[in-house]
Amino acid sequence: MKTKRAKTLDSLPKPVLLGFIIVLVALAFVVQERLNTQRGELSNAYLEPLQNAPPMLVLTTQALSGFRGIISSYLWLRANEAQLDKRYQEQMQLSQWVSQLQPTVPTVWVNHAWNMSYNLSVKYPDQETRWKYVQEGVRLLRDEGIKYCPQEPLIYHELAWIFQHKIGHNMDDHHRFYKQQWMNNMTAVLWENQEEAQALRGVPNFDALINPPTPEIAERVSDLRKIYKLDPREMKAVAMKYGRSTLPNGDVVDALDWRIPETHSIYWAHMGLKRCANNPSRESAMRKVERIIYQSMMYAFERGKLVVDPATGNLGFQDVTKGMGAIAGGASPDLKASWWTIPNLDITENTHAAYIEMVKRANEVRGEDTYSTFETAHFNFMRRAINWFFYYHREDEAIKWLEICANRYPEKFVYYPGYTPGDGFKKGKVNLDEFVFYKYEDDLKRGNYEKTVGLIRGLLIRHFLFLAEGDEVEGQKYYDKFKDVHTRYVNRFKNAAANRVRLLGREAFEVMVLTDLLANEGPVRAAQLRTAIGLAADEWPKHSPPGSGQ
Amino acid sequence: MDSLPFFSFETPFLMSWVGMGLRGLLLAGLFGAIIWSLADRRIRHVAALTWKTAFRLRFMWVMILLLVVIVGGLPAVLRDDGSAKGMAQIILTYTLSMTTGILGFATLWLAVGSMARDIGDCQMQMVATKPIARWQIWLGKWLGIMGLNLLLLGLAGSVVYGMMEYRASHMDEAQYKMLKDRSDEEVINLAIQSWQQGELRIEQVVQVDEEKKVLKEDAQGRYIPRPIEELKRLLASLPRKKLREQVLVSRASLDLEDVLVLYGTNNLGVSFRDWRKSNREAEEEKAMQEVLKLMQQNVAAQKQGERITAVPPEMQQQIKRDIRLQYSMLSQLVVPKTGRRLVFRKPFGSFNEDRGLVLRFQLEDSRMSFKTDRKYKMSLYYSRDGKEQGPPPQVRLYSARTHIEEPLIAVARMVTEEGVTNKISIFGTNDLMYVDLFNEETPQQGQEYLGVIRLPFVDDRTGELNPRGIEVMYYEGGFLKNYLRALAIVFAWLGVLAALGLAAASFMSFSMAVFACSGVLLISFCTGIMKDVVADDTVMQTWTDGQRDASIVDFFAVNSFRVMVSVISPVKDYSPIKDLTDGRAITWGQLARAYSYIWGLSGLLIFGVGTLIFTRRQLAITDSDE
Repeated sequence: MKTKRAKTLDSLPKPVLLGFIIVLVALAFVVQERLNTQRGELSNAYLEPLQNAPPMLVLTTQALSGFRGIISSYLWLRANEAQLDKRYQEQMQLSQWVSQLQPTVPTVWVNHAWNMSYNLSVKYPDQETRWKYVQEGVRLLRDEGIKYCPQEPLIYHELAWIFQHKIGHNMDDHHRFYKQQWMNNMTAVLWENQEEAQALRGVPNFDALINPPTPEIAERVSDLRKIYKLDPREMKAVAMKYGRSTLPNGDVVDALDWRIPETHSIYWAHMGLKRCANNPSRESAMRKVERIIYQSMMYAFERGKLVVDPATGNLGFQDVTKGMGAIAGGASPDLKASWWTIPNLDITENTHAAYIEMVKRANEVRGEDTYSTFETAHFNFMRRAINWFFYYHREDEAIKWLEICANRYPEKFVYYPGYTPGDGFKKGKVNLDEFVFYKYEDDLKRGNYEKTVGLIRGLLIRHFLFLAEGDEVEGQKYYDKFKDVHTRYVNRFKNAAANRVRLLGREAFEVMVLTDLLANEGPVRAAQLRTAIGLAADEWPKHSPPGSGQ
Repeated sequence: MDSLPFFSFETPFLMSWVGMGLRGLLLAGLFGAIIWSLADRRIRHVAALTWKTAFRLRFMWVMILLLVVIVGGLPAVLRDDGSAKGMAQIILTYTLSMTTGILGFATLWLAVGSMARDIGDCQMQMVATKPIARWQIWLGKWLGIMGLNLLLLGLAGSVVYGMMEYRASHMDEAQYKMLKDRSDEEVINLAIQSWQQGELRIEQVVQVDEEKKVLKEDAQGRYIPRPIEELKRLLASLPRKKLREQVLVSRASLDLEDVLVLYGTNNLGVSFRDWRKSNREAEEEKAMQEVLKLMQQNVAAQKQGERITAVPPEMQQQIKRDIRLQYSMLSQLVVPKTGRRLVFRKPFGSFNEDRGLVLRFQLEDSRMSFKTDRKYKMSLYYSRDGKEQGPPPQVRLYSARTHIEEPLIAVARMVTEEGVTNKISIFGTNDLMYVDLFNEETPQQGQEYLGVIRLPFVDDRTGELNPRGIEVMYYEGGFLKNYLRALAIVFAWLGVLAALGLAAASFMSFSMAVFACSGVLLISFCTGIMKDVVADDTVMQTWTDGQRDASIVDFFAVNSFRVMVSVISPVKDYSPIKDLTDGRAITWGQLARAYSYIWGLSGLLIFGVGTLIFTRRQLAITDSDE
């Protein structure tokens, strides 16, 4: 009996079983793709397997199967509870786990990125930690969300929104720090140094980035692709479509500055429109991405030009270390310390085109009525453009845009001074001054930081240019308006945090605008101006002492 | 709102001296019994056999391997918020939670496996024929499992502790590397920021003229900073200092006796309870009259001749409930130019007064916008008598976004004319200290912002003082002591799980016992939902005409949940890991209470039921017979 048992094979020898396993796994490998396709065709609930996911993520998603939802819900609840309890240290980890457990659900990425960038960042008082959380929100969407949901418009919209609003806008006390950090990051990968970036006005050499001529540029491009996921070809396409303009003098310029966040908002919205075009089920979400394009173009128009202090050649940043001047070596609040942007009038045409394109797309593709939405936004943009051209002493262009606007939206001008129904604004008879100041009170009451800085700059430009022309009465009129705008804004925001939306002092503004005009308005105008205000030849206006002039 | 809605072990009786004495006796009896059991040769043998069984199970080895991987590898992959404090908190939270989870699962599996398999394989019949009582077999198995837990928890705990200490001690160098390439201006600004935030003293940041004992100034009258290298080293040491002061420490809270509502600086204040009661009663009366009037008008319009003379009782209850809730909230709202005086009692035992106290609180502003980092101007004053015997008032700007910690001086030394040093404690002769928080906001006329701040010192569930709302904390001891006490509570949990597994396996097969225990565990994770159901008095979450809907299962569900919450919560609510990572003391008193509830009540109950069943069951009838 014993001998018989020993010779009986209850099961196959282990090496044979191992062989079977290997063959079966190989077969599974061969037929898996076909099986997946069939599962996709036959089951509505089937989700495509993750592509390019790291092994750990694939293992987790496959091994946990249906339990992923439960675990994810638990982790999400834990994250919410911790947040309510003001315990933030776990949030990054929990967000990563929750998103990775359900990588194909776009709202998970969107929600966590928003939570990181908006809710959690502001819980920390220091700017470095805040910036870390804002970046984490960007990273979640850009590096992972897009990877797992490449055709999901919501992901692109949220990413573009963080650039446009969280980094670009002034809602956060440390928004200037974010802008500065982002500019430093971009300068490091797009140009050799800050001077080059400044000389090229924030426009990289796209051809050199596409075909790097030197190892140094190749290394930078590698970082650009790996870290920031920016494709130089797509950047060039964006620059061509939204940034290339022909100036009134015939010069062709690339006017989108790649150091400012608004340009990156346009880039990611552009990528969203391109990659999600073939995703008909997400048609309604595409509308949000379309909107981001023209909104960001509008902001790039309104605050898209970085101002350089002509006296020092520095890009300015608002001082965020107020009060440090009490100790030697600490930074003092001064004129150099101001992130100062002004309207980028060079992209007016492109912004207008972006509005037109989005209106057309909404009308034709979705049959949407855009009169009270996209078109009202378009009208408001053109009205602003008219104002800025006027303030910047480019009245011909202001009238040109007034005519375009009146032709397109005649019914919106019915109550404006100088408008005649049927004729519009009669050429040669338009009183621009009257037109612009018709909504002056409204602008003053609602004007945000950027608008007010732009308005102040415009009023001062007009003040100085009238002085240079010898028209002191007109010059004084604009100076009075400048004082009025400044005082009213200061009163309106006197309780706001110093480093968020507080204006520099009046004297500081005067010095900056005057210096800028002397540097950029040509020798004749500069000489007239110097004479009018009593400056010697080659003399520059003096910067006021730190903190003065408020 | 004035009474506790659930049964609580923290009743005045159990917290009294008699209660503490009884608890002490219970614990002494419990541990005495354990030590006596260990002295018994037969019980020791069963425990040793349990160890052998455990190490024969592949499952145990897998669990041990998992424990090693988790404790050793998890800290390397975890992502924190970048701060030293965050790093320590997240490592402690996850490694200890995972250790508890793995050991808990292993304990349950081992307990069920060792008992159910012994019975199922009929080995228990052989043991039971020996001169050993059934309860001794049961206890021997429990002690064996707990011995194994002690070993594994000790190992895992030592590794986590060692890792934390290593990281904390090497933090300075890592921080210094980050500061190394910063410009001089940045370093000076960082030092100034740290000074402004109270992390450094001014004389640590700027040079001091040692002879004149004044801060050195340059020609422009600006203070001269200390050498940059010195500042870098100083800044590099701050995260470690913060870590040691806020996380790797054991800080206990003083008892908050009362909160007084203050209307002016010279006002003695009135207890928030009295304030609430007097305002509430007037409001209730007014609301009742209004409702009655409305009802009378309605009825008069519909039915001529009928007249209502009183508000129905259920509506009265509802009105009272709403107004109580409203005044509970209002008592915490501090409008500008008013304040709250918090009365704290000195701890029972002695404590190191020289290390000072820390006031920990938070502000809330429901109108706070995401746009701004508004800072709220408040004045802080603390004293031994609520009047003038304390340091001068400090005016501070506080954020509503995070917990605020404000250091307080606990003792001052005064030298008399005779040269004798007198210690003056911040606690008066009545052992009380008074902390005044005054709202100094001045909202502009016509502005939407009203400057109303909420100081959340009331537990919304009970309407009574929330001991975690506003705290004054004192240094109770070092991190190691706290850490060991936290592990001791984890060990107590494991003890209950082992008892639960053994009790279930005493009358169920292996698979059934595992299933049943998992069910109990699952229920224990849902106590939060159960508490909500009990508080709402229904399982329904919907409303109709302003009334919450009811369900036919409410009677059964609410009552059974009430019982479950009462049984499970005291065991589960001792969560040492959260306290440990917050740097809160798990005091000896808490530890004793935890053991008396977890082992003394739940453990003994399960032990009693388990051994009773095991003693009375027929060992020969097993699954294998069926």
